[in-house]
Amino acid sequence: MPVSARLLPPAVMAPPRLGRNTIRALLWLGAVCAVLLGWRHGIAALASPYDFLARSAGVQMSESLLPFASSDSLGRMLMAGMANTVAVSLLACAGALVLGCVAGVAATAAHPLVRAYAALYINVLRNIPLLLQVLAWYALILKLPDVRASLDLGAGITLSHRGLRMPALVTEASTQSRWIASVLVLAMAAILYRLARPRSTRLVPGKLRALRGAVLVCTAMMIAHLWIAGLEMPVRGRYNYAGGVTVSPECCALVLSLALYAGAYIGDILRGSLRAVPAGQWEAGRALGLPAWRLLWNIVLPQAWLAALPAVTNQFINVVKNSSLAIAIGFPDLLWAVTTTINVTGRSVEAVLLMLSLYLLPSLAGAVLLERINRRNLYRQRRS
Amino acid sequence: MTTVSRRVARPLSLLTPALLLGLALAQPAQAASTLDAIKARGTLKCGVLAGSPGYAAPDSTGALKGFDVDFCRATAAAVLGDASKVELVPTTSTTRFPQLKAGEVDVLFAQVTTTYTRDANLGFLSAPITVYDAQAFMVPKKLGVKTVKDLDGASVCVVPGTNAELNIGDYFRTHGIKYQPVSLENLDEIRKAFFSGRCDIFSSDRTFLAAVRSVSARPDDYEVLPFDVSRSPIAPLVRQGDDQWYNIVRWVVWSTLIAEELGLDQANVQAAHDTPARPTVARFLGKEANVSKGLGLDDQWALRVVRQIGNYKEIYDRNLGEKSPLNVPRGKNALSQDGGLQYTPAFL
Repeated sequence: MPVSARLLPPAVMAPPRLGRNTIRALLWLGAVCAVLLGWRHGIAALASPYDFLARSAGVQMSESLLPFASSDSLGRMLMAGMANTVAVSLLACAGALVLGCVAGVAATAAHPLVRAYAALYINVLRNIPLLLQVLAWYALILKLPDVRASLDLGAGITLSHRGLRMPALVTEASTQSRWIASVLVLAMAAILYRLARPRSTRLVPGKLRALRGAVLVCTAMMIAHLWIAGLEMPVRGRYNYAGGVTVSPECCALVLSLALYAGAYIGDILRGSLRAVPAGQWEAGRALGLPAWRLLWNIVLPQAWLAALPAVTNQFINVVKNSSLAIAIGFPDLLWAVTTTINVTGRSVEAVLLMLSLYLLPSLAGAVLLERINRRNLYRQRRS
Repeated sequence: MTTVSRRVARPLSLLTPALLLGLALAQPAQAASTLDAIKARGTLKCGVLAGSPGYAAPDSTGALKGFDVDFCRATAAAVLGDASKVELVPTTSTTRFPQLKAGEVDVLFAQVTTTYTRDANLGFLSAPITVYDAQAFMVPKKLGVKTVKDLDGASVCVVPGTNAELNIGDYFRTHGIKYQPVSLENLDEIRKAFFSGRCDIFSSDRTFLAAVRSVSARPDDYEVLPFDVSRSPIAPLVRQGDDQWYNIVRWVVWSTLIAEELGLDQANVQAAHDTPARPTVARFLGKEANVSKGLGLDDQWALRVVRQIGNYKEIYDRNLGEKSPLNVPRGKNALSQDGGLQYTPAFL
């Protein structure tokens, strides 16, 4: 029987408004920063404590998503480090999500062997310190063959202990006619997509879905034809391959270890929340004759995810924080950029305050997002 | 907000601004002179680059031994009377400067290269140069590198936070060639990365390269290229604002060189003190009274340094030279009268 909204006072039912608290937290952070900087440099210096960000870096990054040369500014280097952190965290979160889903479902499976494997993964990987896991994966990846004896995986892809080299996409020149053509193609696609929406027409939903898929595929092919000039193949040089795109061993080791570690935690969370879905849901699904995978995917998992969401968001925030272990294997992330800045300029207080704020941003974003989702779901539960 | 948290928040919201105001108004404690602080503490806190063979590396018992360690002990012998009254603080290439700045160490003998930015921006003073070194490249012999242009596109191992990292960028840009940096802070990790082939080139000071090559499984597989990337004068570092301490560190370093010049070593210095051959020797070993009062030291400080640690030649040979596994020739580090660059003021 659903809980009546009148039985409980509204103050308890409505979750606290995180928006106001977040603003308050940011204001306090700003106040503390201002006080620390003013105390250190004198009040006059508060106007420009970050002037060192315009200085030339002089250091080259071993890899960065944003294009960066050693003559660029320190501010740009910090942004490139932040971009690296965000990229690694996103990849690791995606991997952790998939692994956690699989592990959680396996941990509540009927067959004892499947449960045992899941329990092994979840318990072993949660209890080994993450730093050791990062170093272990790095050492393993370095055991791949030397770059001069790279494994050729075909289609220009080579694997060695200096990373995975792939051909890079080369884009055509950005001309006005190309942009106009792209806009027209996208407009056409949007119209067709909307026309093919499911409604009470004679066309069966399955056929409509297929039509929509076809529209998307054709659009993608047309855009690709417009913008992609060709592939840049990696060319074997004296020491390394030149050209193409590399996924470095540091990046691989970091993403792998972060994904596995967070996946173990998410798996355990999901194991609990799957148990929390009422048994009636499973029975009703079976009574309707649904196959097990559809029962899981469409009925049980959505409810389990709702219950697990706060804890899983917490794990994602942990992934962002743990990505700072990149410094142990030499991956140029935000922490590396801040350390280099401090070494070059000596302004440790300003640089560390900046780093704290930048690491706080994903956590705050995650918390705000979670708060929105929670509020929407609580409202839904009240109505049911 | 519920009523409970509102009750807690009221005193908190009064306390927090008060705390911040107190923090802002609090004056930093009047810094006692470094020498007084060391004498009160009873030990000298000396920062060294832990894990650097030849300079500060653990021996079989785990105690740090090396060139920088010996100079730390010499300073302790001069100031506190006993070379063992030193606390060797292990630092890394990135933490050594913040540690000196924060006061966690009194002096830094951490293979620091003197650069303009370090003196100007970090607020430090460089004492006399202990090692005249140069930055160079080490490559496996099988790569067959002959000229600078052969290094185009290579992966280079550098220790982050060192001037080597900045010099490489300048050097490769000047010659119009590209490189791939691999920067690992841990010295063991970077050695492993170079020997496993993760990077093609290792760039650092020549003494450090000799040390790294000496601990490899097959030292003959590697060669140090003859061209220098840049000069690398290694000197101890102290904080700005304490001139007396700076003078003490300066003269401790010079005393080892003067001792070598005067022909004094660990074996004969006590005899030379009892019966000095020349007035300079007598003054150096503290036979004249009150010469060192301005430095805040007693007159026998140089005698202690030479007796407990040795002169520059002994320190060098023991750690970097012919009596050590590194076997780096003295070259520019010889005294000026022997053709090197070590030129010291007279002890007058």
